[in-house]
Amino acid sequence: MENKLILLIEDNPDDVALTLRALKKNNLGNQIVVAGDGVEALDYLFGTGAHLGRDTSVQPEVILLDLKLPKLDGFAVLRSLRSDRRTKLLPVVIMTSSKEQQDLIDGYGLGANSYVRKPVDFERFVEAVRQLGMYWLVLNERPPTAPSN
Amino acid sequence: MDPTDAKASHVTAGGASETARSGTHLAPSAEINALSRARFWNRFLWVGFVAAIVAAAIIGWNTYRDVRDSDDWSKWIVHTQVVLQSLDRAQADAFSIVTALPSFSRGGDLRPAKLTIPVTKMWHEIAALRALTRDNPAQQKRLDQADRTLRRVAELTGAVIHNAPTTHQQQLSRSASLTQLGDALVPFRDNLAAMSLMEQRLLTERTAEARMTSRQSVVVMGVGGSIILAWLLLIGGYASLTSSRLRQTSQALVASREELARSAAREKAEERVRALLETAPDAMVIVDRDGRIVLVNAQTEKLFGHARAEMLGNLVEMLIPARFHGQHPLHRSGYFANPRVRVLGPGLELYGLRKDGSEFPIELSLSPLQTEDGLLASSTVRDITERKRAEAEMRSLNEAERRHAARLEAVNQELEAFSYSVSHDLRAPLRSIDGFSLALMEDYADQLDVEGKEHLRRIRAATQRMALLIDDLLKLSRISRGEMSHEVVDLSAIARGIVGELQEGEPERSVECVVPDGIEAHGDSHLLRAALENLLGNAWKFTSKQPHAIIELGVLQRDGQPLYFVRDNGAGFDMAYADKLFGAFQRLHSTAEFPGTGVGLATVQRVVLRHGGRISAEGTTGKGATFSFTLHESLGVSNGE
Repeated sequence: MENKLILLIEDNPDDVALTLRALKKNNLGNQIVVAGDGVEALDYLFGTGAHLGRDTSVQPEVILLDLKLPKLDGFAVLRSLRSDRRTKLLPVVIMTSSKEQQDLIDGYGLGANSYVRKPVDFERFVEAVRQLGMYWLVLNERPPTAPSN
Repeated sequence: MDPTDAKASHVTAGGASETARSGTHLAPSAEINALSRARFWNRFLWVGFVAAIVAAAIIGWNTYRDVRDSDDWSKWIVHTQVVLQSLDRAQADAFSIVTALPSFSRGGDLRPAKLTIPVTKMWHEIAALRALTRDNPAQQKRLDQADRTLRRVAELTGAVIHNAPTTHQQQLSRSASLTQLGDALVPFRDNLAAMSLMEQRLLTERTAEARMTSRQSVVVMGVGGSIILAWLLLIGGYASLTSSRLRQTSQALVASREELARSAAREKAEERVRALLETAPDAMVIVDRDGRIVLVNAQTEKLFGHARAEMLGNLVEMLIPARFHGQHPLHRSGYFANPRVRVLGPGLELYGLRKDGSEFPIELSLSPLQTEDGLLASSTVRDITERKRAEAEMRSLNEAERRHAARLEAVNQELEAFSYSVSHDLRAPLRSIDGFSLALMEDYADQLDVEGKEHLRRIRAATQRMALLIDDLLKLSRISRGEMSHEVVDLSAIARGIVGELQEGEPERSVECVVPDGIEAHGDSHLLRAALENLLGNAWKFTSKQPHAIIELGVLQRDGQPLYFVRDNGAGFDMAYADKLFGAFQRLHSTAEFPGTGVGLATVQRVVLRHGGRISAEGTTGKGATFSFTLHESLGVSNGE
């Protein structure tokens, strides 16, 4: 699992800390890239802005996407991902606090692969992260990398 | 009523009356002509009639005379012929004597009969002739002479017969007697011949006279007949003239009767139009080209407060507020230049002026009216004060409604935003509290004593309960929001499903669930499921301490409506607090006794209210509770917000 990356797009530092803690508890801590908002996330994925020059042939195995984000929210990020050849096949798991029906519809509608509500109970949160890591990093076969140009 | 229609019929009626008038105007001169002609004919016919009568009388008289005369003439002719025959016979007798005389003189056959018979016969004839010619004195005179000569003949005959000659002397005397007899016969015969001549002349005369008379008759008949014929011709001519005149008259009569009927119908139509006009709900003002009021109806009087007489003939401006007077004549001439049906009012501020000077808003429809008096404008004036008021009221109501709706919309949006924010933002801190509490417990367990660990446990329990409360609150708000569908919902099936899930969650419990088949309701299946989940969930929860728990779903008919109920034999409740049951976060039991947030029944009530129904609860502490609800009790009730 050396080169298998997880991109966490989350603005709340508490949630970032807790998620990292949960990942570490499941031995997934070293392969995490954290983006604090939607713009940073896209810069990372497309090698622009602060991530200019990044080798964009290296893409995360799975993206954990929060919906409520500063600047670009989760839906806008998802839309940009799905409309770009390089990222349109990337697995995206929406991981958010709400389970508002509209969020579910919009999220799946824009091409999310999964929707997970973060439990308040941290033990259950850890369990959820574990399962996510197991599934997306181990069980799941990633889509073929898009030829870069 | 379409005012233009009434106008049209009015106009037609006017046109017809004009033609009728001109028709009656033509009639007198024609009638006078006809009358004088008739009078002339009359006189002429009377004269002809008298002439024909006279002619007929003359012909009649003439005919009568002819018939009578011709009878006389034939009698006369027959008579004359009888006389002539009698004369002829007497002549023949005389001639037979004359022819017998020579034999007497020769002394041949001397039979006396040869003389005596003719003489006797002649006497007879003379006697007969005397009778026949009694009326003819000339003939009688001749008969007298004949009588005398015959007597002489008879003497001589006697002498001849009785003096048979024995001697020569006697012979001589006899022959002298015979000669004398012969001589005596001559005047007799002449006499007879004269009589015969006379009779023949008479016959000729009478025949000629008869011929004359008949010629006269022919003339009289011809003339009289001609007169009668002429009169008949006249009569015929007059009759044919009269009959054609009669025909014309009858045609004229029929026509005039039809005209009468038409005019009656027209009268009726006009009456109707007038009645329509008078009973029309709107004021009607008919104005001529100069703006003078030609006609108004009762409504106009009522609407404007002017008496009819005050308006007729006056300028229509009297019904219009002074500030419009300037442009009104212009509008009018514009209208008369392009007359058509127009409705003025919507979008225009038009006002009428009452007699007392007050104004009122009006709506005006104009229609052109072509009449014999020229083009008129018929205006229908409607007082729209009430409508304006109603419109204003409606506007303000609509405004209020709109404001209310906007407020509701705003509230809804706020609620939406609030619940969105609650579901995202309120949970995140809770997650932090719980997560870091656990991190403390894990990472710093050795530095915490039992009490410290217990504090952290309470913190985590509280955060998790808060998360539960938030979730239930969101559920409740979701129940109130969103579209509702209307379908037939099988409550029995849903209830069985829910009970099955509850049983799965607590397989160790033994609960008797009574759910009959076929309990159906009309409504939104998701909302009804939520309601049943809460009601059955409550029943399940509050019977947890009951060794023989019974949960029952049923339906009764009350006031013709289904009344659904969920009954249990659980913990029940004190009826004193029944009114608190349905409030959000209201609980009658401690969380320790029975877990829960107190949102369940509030959710049920919300569902029931959104369906237009009512919910009530009955219970006794320790003996169970029954929750009964109706749906659609008051259709059209707001969605329960």
